[in-house]
Amino acid sequence: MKENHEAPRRLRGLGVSPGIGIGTIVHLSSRGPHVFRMRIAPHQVEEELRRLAMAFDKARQQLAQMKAKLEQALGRDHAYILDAHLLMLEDQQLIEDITSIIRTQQVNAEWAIKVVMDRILAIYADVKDDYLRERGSDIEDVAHRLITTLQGDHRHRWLLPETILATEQMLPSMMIELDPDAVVGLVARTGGWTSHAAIIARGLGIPAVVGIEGLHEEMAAGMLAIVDGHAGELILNPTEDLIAQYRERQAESERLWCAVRDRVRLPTVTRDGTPITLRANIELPSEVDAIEQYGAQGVGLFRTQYLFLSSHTMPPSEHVQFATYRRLAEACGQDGVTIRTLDWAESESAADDAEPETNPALGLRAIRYSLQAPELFRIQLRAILRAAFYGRIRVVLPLVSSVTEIRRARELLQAVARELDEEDLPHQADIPVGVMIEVPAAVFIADALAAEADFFSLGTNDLIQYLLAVDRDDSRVAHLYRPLHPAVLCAVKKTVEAAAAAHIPVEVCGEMAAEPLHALALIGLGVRRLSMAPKAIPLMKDVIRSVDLALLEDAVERALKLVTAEDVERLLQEEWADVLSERYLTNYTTAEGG
Amino acid sequence: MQRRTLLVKNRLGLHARAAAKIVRLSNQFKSELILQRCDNGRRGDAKSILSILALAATQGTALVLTASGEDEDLAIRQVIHLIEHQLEEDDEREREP
Repeated sequence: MKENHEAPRRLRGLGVSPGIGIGTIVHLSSRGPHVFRMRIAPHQVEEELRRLAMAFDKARQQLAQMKAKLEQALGRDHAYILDAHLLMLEDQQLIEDITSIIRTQQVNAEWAIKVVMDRILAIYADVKDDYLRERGSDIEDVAHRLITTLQGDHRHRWLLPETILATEQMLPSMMIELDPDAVVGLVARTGGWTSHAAIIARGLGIPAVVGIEGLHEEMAAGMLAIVDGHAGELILNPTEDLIAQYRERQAESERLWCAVRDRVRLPTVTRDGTPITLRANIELPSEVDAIEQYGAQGVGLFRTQYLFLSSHTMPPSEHVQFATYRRLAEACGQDGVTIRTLDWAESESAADDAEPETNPALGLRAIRYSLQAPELFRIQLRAILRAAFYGRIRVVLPLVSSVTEIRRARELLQAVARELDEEDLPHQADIPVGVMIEVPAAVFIADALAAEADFFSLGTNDLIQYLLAVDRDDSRVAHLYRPLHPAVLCAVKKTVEAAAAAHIPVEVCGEMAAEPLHALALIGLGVRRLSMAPKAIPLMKDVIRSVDLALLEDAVERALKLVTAEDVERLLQEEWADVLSERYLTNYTTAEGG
Repeated sequence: MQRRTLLVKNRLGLHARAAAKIVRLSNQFKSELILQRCDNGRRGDAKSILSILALAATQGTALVLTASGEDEDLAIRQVIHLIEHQLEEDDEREREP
């Protein structure tokens, strides 16, 4: 940690994952393989040069092997391009340039490579000739190979304990590479509450603050900092006193939280005896342990896109998917797991170099993408049906806006089941198929969807965004994102009624389910299953065990007659003040300090 | 020291594959071999593939090749012959599916 004598600086942002983290800032670049700029001490320069030399050697060996393989398979001609790559790795000029940057700027080898390669790539960006300009990708390829070789298979080992990561924008792929034990906080200049990375941060319990204006101007790598996810604040260069204060707050919220957690084994039931099912939303297979730890009744939402993003092959092989789903299903026992089929936009899959879509929220994504990429979808469905042989699996289709989509998905499932029959592979053909209700159209045709689906899963994040036409990540309109807006309540009510009429269950898996005030409103509206980040479960259980369903229903009935979000919020907050202030509000306000 | 001007004639310019050929040939000589663009003066070592790539020389780019060393005569003749006459065939192969 760097000594500093500068005055503390407080930067405001949006707290998207609660908690307090105290550590050292590491700057993470958002593009390409993630490259950290790390200062090294003068005596570490020689060691860094050795790392560099080893990386060159190893990359050359890899390429030579690959080339030999290619030559054998395709003949000399096609292996030629690897020759060019090999020559780059033997390029004395390149090695000298990188070495010189490590020496003069005292930075890590990854960063030096990036600087040199970017310089060359910048020349290429200006080339008029299309063909030649595209050849810049050869250079990028070599740079990536060197950097990944340097970082090894365990890039996150690079991070020292108690690291606060600072980025332009938190990307889900970044989160996967990080070691959650080393990272105590995340800060970003852009981004918002609903970004996938924020969701993962909450899932992993890493405090995060985004939307910090001036972040890059104020911070420097190696700076000591405090991330306060409750208050939405980043404090740079805190004094010893300030650190001590925040450590005390950390300990206090830890104590409060432990008290709640002790009750995880108790049943989740309202005071007047209505059982509520609480499930876990998880994104990383490694989070399976959290199910048991926080007393979740199975998994209500497994987001498969992270499995895809973190895979070494794209898409992940059927076997990798099968093994992951099976492990999940076995861990969930009788409570089972709901697997959401691939929910991403094409732009995400193509990573950085894709053409930016003008309106990605309304573009080719989720079930639309899966139905247009049937091979990718088929492999996922095969893996799901095979895993279902070993445990209870439900499958849910994201962003459904028409009955046709569920029909086509069912047809594909049947075709896949026939395939597996013919191949004599163990599988379970008949699994529940649900639809996500997250597009206004789905709410309006909820009756028709309920006739064909086995269950509904209310994705409130997207539903609110589409219903109110508000992008919560746009700070100018973020205040218009109101989960208790009368239109949202109305949509939930209509969905619940359609499901009840068709005798199928509804589960809510959006952020609303994890927020006590909103969750109580949902229960009052007739929802009996909530799925949320595992860490939110103990507190939610505590809240539910202290309320009467009859009182919730009564308050919600009155709220449904109100016409503004503000009035609904005020009414429900007042009605349930005793329940909320004592438990949930105490927890938060204490952590925020007085 | 030998100096000659040459023209990049092949359709695809000095792309990776062409640059690799130049580097391989150049490295057979003891002389220092420097390529320089006539239009913007950017220079590159003919023994360094990245330097050549950084020239970003497309079809029609005029270059000056300078060779200095004991085998400079042979070096300059062979390298120029390669760039002006032998790269085109590679292009044809490169375009194959």
